[in-house]
Amino acid sequence: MEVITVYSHAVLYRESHKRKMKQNQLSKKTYQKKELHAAMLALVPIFLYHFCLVVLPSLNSLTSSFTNWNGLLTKKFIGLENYRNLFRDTDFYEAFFNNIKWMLLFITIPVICSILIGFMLSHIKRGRSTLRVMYFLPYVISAAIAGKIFAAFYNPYLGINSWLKDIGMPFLAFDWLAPSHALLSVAFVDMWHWWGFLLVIFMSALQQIDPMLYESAEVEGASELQKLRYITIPSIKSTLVFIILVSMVWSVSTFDYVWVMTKGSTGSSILSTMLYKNAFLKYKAGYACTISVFQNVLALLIFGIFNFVQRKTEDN
Amino acid sequence: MTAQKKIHKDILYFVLSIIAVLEISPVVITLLNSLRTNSEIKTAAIGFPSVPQFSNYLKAWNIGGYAQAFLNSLIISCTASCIVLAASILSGYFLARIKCRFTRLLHVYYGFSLSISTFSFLVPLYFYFSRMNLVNSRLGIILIYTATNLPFNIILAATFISEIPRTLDEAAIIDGCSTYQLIGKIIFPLAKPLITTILLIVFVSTWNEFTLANTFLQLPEIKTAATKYVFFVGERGSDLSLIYSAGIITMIPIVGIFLLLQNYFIEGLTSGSIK
Repeated sequence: MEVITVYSHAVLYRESHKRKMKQNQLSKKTYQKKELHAAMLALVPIFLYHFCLVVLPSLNSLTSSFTNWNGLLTKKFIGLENYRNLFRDTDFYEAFFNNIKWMLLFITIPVICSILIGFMLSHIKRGRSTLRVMYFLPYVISAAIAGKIFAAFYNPYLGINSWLKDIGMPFLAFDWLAPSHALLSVAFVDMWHWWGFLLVIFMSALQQIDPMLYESAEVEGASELQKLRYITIPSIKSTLVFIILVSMVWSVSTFDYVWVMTKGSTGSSILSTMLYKNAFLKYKAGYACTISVFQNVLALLIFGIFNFVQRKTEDN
Repeated sequence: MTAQKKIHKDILYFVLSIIAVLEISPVVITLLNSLRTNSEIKTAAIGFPSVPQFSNYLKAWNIGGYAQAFLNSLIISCTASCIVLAASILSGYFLARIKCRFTRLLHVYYGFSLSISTFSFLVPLYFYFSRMNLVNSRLGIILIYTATNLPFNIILAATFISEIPRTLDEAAIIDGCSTYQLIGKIIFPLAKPLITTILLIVFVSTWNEFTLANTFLQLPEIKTAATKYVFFVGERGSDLSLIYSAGIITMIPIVGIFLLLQNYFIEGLTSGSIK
């Protein structure tokens, strides 16, 4: 008797389980269909929104670069006239070389500083996170504020110059934002703000390094410098390459610190400030678009060269 | 050996502390100067206030019209971060879960969009917007900020959600959850770290943003706090104490959040870049 009830229970259970499985499979299919619907309902509008606000105007920049557009009236196609003018423009060469200078500064000084200090920080435990917070602090201050405050410091009459004279370093008290070194003074502020961010990125890369490597190096009697050269740098190579690539690409279209501090006046004009002036002060929107196309070509070139070099080194 | 090591460590601490002090000294000088009088700053650019002038802050707040500027910034940053949050979690979920040609293409598209600089679209977008009366409007800048912040946060969300096990989804599906219910009830509560990171990234970047705000918000009464400060210094450049106190006022919200959350903040802002 008992055996039969158990058996019938088992059969019933199996039957119902089978039915449930079947239902599940069926509902899974209808669910997948519904899910796809829901996905398209979300993905497509968001994509279109981004496309219309960012990619479409970017493409418009490209087509406008062949016109004499002034931003307001209709455009007239003028072929390569803007490009010809650009390559004849002496302002353009000044701006371009300033961008190159900016790039060279940013792929060396902040990168070297942040690796060295990250390496030093990896040797200590107590107080490390407090120090990290202090180094990172400038990164959260807006370029608008930092730029203007440093411009006040740089003021030749009311800024830090009088203080520099007081502490006996009058040779440092020059006009910081004068054309001959305005770019360096501005770049200094941007680097002050930027290197803390790099430091955090390098610190997390340094943490991934196997401590065994350092230990065995210590047994072999390697100096700190040798450890940095033969263990640390090779281990963080991929992060380093990425940071250099990003710094180079960003240098091409850097803008805010320069605009806030000098508005790209002589000596510190860069491609972006030249573009901005042409578009919004001189109403030469077509010409401004030409500069933006040049910036993008430059960025693509950097990407291309990086890809090429990376593939070459991987082959070897 | 150990004595030598200890000396080494002391030197290390010394050097690192000096650098840290130098690094934050501009902020400290600004803070001190914000409490000094104009003539004090003119005679010595760096120094302690003889009598702290807290009235500087009140003056800067009123003359600068900071109540309006903070309200603008708050509305713009909060709205943009909430929209970006919702859109990135939705997109991120589907990009992580559905594998088809379209989603793969979208992934590539958003990755590629990361490399589009502001200047590639700035000029045409400005003249479109001015024709549509979206220049000098909060709505206009919110629309732009949302769009520019989307790609990075969508990729961030997709990466995070793809690490949530699928079995949870399946259990919810068998229980009869619809897709949107699933996102709301299962993914959202599990994605708390993601949510705070996205909100933080978008809020801070829009609060501090200069180029777009400077272009699209030109009337003083519509400006955000950061661009208002640039405008303020341009108008009242001779009033040194006000420059410094207004600077402190403008940086206080973000620096305040930063000092409260510290390491959490740092990890949030650098997440995504690490990997």
